[in-house]
Amino acid sequence: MELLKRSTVNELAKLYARKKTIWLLLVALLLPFAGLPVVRQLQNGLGIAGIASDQYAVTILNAMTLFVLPLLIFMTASDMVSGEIGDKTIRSVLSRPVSRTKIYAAKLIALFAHTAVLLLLVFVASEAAAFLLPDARDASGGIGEAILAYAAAALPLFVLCTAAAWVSLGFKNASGALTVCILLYAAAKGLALVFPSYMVFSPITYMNWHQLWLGGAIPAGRIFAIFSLLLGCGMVFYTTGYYFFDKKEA
Amino acid sequence: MKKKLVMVGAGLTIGSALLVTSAFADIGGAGGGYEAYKKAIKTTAAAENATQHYVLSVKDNGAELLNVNGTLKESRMAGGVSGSAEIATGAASERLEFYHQDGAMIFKSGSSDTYNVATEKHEADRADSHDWDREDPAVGQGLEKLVDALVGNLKNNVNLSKEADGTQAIDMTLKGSQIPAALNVIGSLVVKEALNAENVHQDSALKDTGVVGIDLSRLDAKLPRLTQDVNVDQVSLRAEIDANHYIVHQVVELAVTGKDEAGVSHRLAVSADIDTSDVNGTTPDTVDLTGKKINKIEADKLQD
Amino acid sequence: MSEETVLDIEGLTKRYRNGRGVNEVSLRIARGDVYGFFGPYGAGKSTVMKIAAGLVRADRGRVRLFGTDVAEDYERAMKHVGVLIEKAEAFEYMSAYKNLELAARLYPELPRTRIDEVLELTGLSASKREKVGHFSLGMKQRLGIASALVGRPELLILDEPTNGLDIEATVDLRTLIFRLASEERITFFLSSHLISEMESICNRIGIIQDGRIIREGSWQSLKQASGQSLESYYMSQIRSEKGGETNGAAQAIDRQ
Repeated sequence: MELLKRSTVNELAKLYARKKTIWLLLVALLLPFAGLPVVRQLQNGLGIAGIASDQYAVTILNAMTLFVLPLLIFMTASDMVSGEIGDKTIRSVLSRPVSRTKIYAAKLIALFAHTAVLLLLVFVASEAAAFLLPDARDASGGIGEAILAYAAAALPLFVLCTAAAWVSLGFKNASGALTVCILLYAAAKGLALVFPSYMVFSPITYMNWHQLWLGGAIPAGRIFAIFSLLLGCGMVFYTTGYYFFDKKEA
Repeated sequence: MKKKLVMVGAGLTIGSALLVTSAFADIGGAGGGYEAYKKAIKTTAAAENATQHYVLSVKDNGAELLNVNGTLKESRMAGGVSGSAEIATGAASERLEFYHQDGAMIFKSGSSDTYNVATEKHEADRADSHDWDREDPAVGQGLEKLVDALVGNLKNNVNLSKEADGTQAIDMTLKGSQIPAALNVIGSLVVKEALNAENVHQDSALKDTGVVGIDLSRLDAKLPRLTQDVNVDQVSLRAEIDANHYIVHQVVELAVTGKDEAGVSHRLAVSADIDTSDVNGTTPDTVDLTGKKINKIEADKLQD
Repeated sequence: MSEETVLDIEGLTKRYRNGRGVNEVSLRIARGDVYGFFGPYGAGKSTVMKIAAGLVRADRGRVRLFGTDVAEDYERAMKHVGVLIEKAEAFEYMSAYKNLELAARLYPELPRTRIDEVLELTGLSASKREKVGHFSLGMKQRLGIASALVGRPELLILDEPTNGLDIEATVDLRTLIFRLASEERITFFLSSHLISEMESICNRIGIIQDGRIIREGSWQSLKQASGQSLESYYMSQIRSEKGGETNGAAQAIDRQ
């Protein structure tokens, strides 16, 4: 456990030592404010709430889970896995007295942690933005629900982390892995439009399942089914990913 | 080595078990409710004839402003429609009958014995434009795909329950941020414009005996004029579908909040409750105009 | 002196898809040995060392480090092993110090001062805050050695450690290895394609060619057996292993 913890700290230290990561965190922090002028215009100019301030944070989450957050995850995973395999720095990680089981776990935990950090930043930024809206006096009303939504949104994103790491294992450069991750994601999203009945088994269909948790009446059966699907996909991606990682020659 | 294999094996087994569980937990049913509803709409729309009882209601902060209670009998083959409506706004109420027969539209107010008859001059044209979506399946399919895409993940919010006798019930409730932002913005704008337009029109168009020759000015529903923070708060839909995929009962509710110019908050609840019966067993009523008081009105006026 | 076996390689066979690899390689390194592993490029030195360090899995055969099979309990086997394979690869966007910190973190009992110690040993103290991306090839190689040393290893597996080093740095490295071997009794398993660079500090030598060990023994025994300099001996062994025309080609190169 101690080694797993230390390996995870290492993965995070490498991640946050990159300037790129810091810039992308900044983008995640600023994006929620980009929707402000639009909503302001709706509220002041047209007299409609458009996006009421107590729903602003969840609306931003709806938008971010569609593409921005997956993209940030793909970028991180491809650097963390393909990037290290490509420039052979993975050797300096593997040739320490730490088993590959722990190294792969540490990479995934670091990815999860980074995803959680991203969600937290987006949450804080969008709640802050909500208080800058004309109807800000209602803003605090939605915080509880927003916390629930952001927490729920983490699960499909975590599954996406395991999938992105899985794909990245097959590549020796980060940009190749990133491109393929984006293409696969876009293809899966596109297929969902063409074959809606088959795509109920695709985890990507449930990127915004957090919406099911809102509105009081929680459809428990549906949530249980989706939870099982997401967890199952995550486990299959994680275990097979670990299997390939363990076989990998560095 | 063995430990690793056991770990990988266990992970795969539990993972796959969860996937199977999700399949058994009817994850395929996510969207099943939506599909069932879509099929029912198509089936019901294709019915030759049917009778509908409907209740429309608008409430403001709990007080009913408008209530329309009526029946509509429609037959595609006969090209006939007949119906009645009881419109109540607070204390005032008005009864209305209408028929579509022999190429003419006939309206009659409950408070008078005059039949207002509007003869259609371009019957052929109308029939054409009416049926465009049924005539061209490609357009219909394209439209369906578009609607599917727009609905997207909202399908997950449509719950479906099936009964042993083949009847199905679907329900969907969207609250607050569950309502897609675009839908909310457009919906809020439409509601706001409609409310304001109604208040403007009330002094002119409807007052001068109305286009249907019936004075509806008594029926001032006094809908509030929302000017700020108009927001669609909740949309809900419930439908009962019978074993033949006809929608037999359907309730649509919409809650809109906003403030009027004085800054007073309003919560408007709009609901429509529709019962469908006598599918393929309905004949629209007709009225024999011989010897009745008739007021001819120009059809062109109606079409505007 | 009781001969504790630190590294025990038995019947190692590994075939890559391109046909290269190693065949039935066995060797044994005792504590305190400085084992020189020599052979031309592509002979299989790196393959053996990668398998020994658990980076590559063998098709057949077994590697034991301090009595523990690498394929079975990697953490225990590698506990006291430092590794540098081929080119030293460090995270270029981090400083030398931060890179060593990553390595040091994986040895829970290590005192924090150890990082400065190895920086001092490898002569990198002055540039420890610099990003590795700005380092010269020689500096990177020294950082690689520092990184192999940071966990206080009892066995160092160094694959071509003089790669990219100039003469001065090569001499420094030789001195360092000699010192660590004699003063701290660190065992070395080091490879080079240049026997002249390393032979003077090795007490045991293995010569590998085309994936097979063709000669193995103590420095003295090999030297006595050949009656010439080790380099000439090495060349003669390599040539005699190759047949007719390759022999001629090798001689032609030798004459130039």
